[in-house]
Amino acid sequence: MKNFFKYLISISVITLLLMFFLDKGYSYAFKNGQPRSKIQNMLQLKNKHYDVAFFGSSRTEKHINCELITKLTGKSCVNFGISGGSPGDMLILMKLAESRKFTFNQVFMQVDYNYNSYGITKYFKANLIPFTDNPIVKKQLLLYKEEFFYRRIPFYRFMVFDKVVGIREATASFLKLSQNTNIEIGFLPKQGIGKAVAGSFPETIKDKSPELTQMQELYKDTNTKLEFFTAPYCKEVKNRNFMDKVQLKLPGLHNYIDLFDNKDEYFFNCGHLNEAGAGVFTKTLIEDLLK
Amino acid sequence: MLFNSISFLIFLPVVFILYWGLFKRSLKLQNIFLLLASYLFYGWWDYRFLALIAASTLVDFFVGRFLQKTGNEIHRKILLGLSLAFNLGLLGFFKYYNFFIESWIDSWSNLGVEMQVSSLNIILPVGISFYTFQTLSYTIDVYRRKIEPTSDIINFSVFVAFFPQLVAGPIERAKHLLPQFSTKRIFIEERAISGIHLILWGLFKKIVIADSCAIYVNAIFDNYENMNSASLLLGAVYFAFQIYGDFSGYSDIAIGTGRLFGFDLMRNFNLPYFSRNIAEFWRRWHISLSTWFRDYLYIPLGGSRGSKWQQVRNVFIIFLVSGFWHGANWTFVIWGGLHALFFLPLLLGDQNRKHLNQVAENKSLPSFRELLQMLFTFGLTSFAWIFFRADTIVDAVNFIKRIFINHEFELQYLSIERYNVEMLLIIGIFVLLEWFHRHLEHPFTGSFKWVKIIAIILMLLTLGVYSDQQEFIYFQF
Repeated sequence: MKNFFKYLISISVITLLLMFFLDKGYSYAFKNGQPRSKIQNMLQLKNKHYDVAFFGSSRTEKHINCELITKLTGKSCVNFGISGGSPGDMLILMKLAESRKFTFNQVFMQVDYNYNSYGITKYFKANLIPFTDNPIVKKQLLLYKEEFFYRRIPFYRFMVFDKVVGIREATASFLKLSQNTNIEIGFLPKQGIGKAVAGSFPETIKDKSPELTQMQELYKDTNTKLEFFTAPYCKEVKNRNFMDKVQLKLPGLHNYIDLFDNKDEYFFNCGHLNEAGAGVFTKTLIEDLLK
Repeated sequence: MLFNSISFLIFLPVVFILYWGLFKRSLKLQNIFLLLASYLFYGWWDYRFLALIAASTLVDFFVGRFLQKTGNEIHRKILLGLSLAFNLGLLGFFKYYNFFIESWIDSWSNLGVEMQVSSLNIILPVGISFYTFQTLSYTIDVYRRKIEPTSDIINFSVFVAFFPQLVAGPIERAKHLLPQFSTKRIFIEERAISGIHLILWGLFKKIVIADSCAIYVNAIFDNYENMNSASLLLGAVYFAFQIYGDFSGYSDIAIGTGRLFGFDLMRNFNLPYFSRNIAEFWRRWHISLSTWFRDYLYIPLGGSRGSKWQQVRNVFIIFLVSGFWHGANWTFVIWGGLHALFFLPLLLGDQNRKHLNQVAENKSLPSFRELLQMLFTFGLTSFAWIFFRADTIVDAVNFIKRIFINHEFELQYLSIERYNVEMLLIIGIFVLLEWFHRHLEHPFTGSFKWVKIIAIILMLLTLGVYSDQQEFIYFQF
């Protein structure tokens, strides 16, 4: 039995040592390698100024063409939209931006059915994994009770989120392989025409969105003007009048939900515009809000 | 409880320490403890189905006892019939009820008669196909007077529910496993260490090979209409490795875990993809099920005795039943039928008992002929796996049709954001590891033992799939 336990301990020690060194290696790769996500990018940059910044989900990432904004207005622009991103995710990004001394003149936050959501998404959490020692990240995770116990087990955190921060991404970061897309500009348009996945907005609205309130507080008494906007949806989506309720909660909301009600050719699917639609929508925003 | 879960990582050492520490002095207590641990292990999924295991255990225990007491052949036949009816009835109800109802409605519907028979929302109890076959083998062997029935209900209960092999085998025979519960267990370090090696190797097969392949397989099979010929071929190959890694990985962990508790479970896989023909493949794939069907179905049907026609009939029966055992879907029946067809030329040419040895014995590399034979056999099995994996026969046929009509063999970027060929590298490493250790049950031997252990742990940590963890495929059977 003694030798057996010795053997087991040897294997366990080897495993723990490997985990320790892998954790160090992965962390180094994500912190110092080529940024391959918007979060990684933000955490590697410092002291940046943009005239306009957009935050939101895929309806920001795939709809706001920053290059077009810069071309037509001369304003520098960044799109921090992340597919599937929640207001909670965006709040962390905004706080990280503040801590990294990013400054903006105008910040646009996309709001729709996500008014009702609370917390951070799994994908976003996965992207934060290499940066859990960052005080802002740590604080926010604690706030959301996401202070996972396994954060303290070396490398386990990378294993749990291997899809996002696994060996492929770590190696690509380390070898400084860039993404096919420009993550600093952040615009990832959809191609094609369709109106599938109509879905439904919620029937009822929550009393308040603590995260949107925190965003308002974050930019209160600063030189940054925070504005909320809603991107177009196809008219087939159910309970679209949910946005009227949001408008009551956020009186200054720029609601473009019905902008393309008669322009089916601008949709990739019910919730997303295609590249042509994104271009027209961006121009509309320029006309209305950026001149 | 899954072998590749945190709960099992806690469960196993706790049970191990209590078993060898607290209960070491009493065999009875060790067995009672193993029974409770096994029920806890099973109940972790759904405690309600423990009643089924308990019922199956009680029925076969008492049938065994009564079989011993009576010499009357008619009574013995009735008792055997009772056990068969109960166990196969359980299996039939939980696994096949909806299938038969739906097939019945469909067949009438094809004749233009619409029927309204409601199907039931039945959950398939995990492992039911495995433990019912295990208890059945006990009753049949007692009936055939091949073994003496046990009078110890605890021993029999733990034989049925022994947690390492409860949910996906190996399907043990009473003759082999039951006596081990009556024998005082001695902790043998070498055996326990070999158990750890098998667990490690099994985890590698499951988490690195099977679960990684699963990501590609799902992307390809779920979207086969948009795949090119190369991706479809690779999809079939990946599934062959997924199911092999998944099931043989489970078996390795089961056997390894058994060894930690002083038990010897039968080998369930013996490098099936190094087979030179289909007959050899079936001597190496899911051995405990193949031999079960051989002993309790094929031989009673006449086996290889009788006319060629009878032999062919027996081969088709055994393969079709084996297919149907895997699941209530015609795709499994077709899979079984295909294997019967592949087996047929060997049977007719009296080639089915060829290749009883290990391929390239005493050589490091196979001959060109052996290589071609292995590739051909692998091709046949991979082709049949398409039916096994596809949701419907139509999907399988369309999948195969597209391989031949698409004619595009370039790299394809899949929805999982990976190229279709990427998995081949890991599979290549795995095949080489298996090949160069083909006379062993795992690769952790020799002067580079520790290098290999470290490499496998490193691969487990970095290449393993944890966020997309898959259940073991055979749990559904």
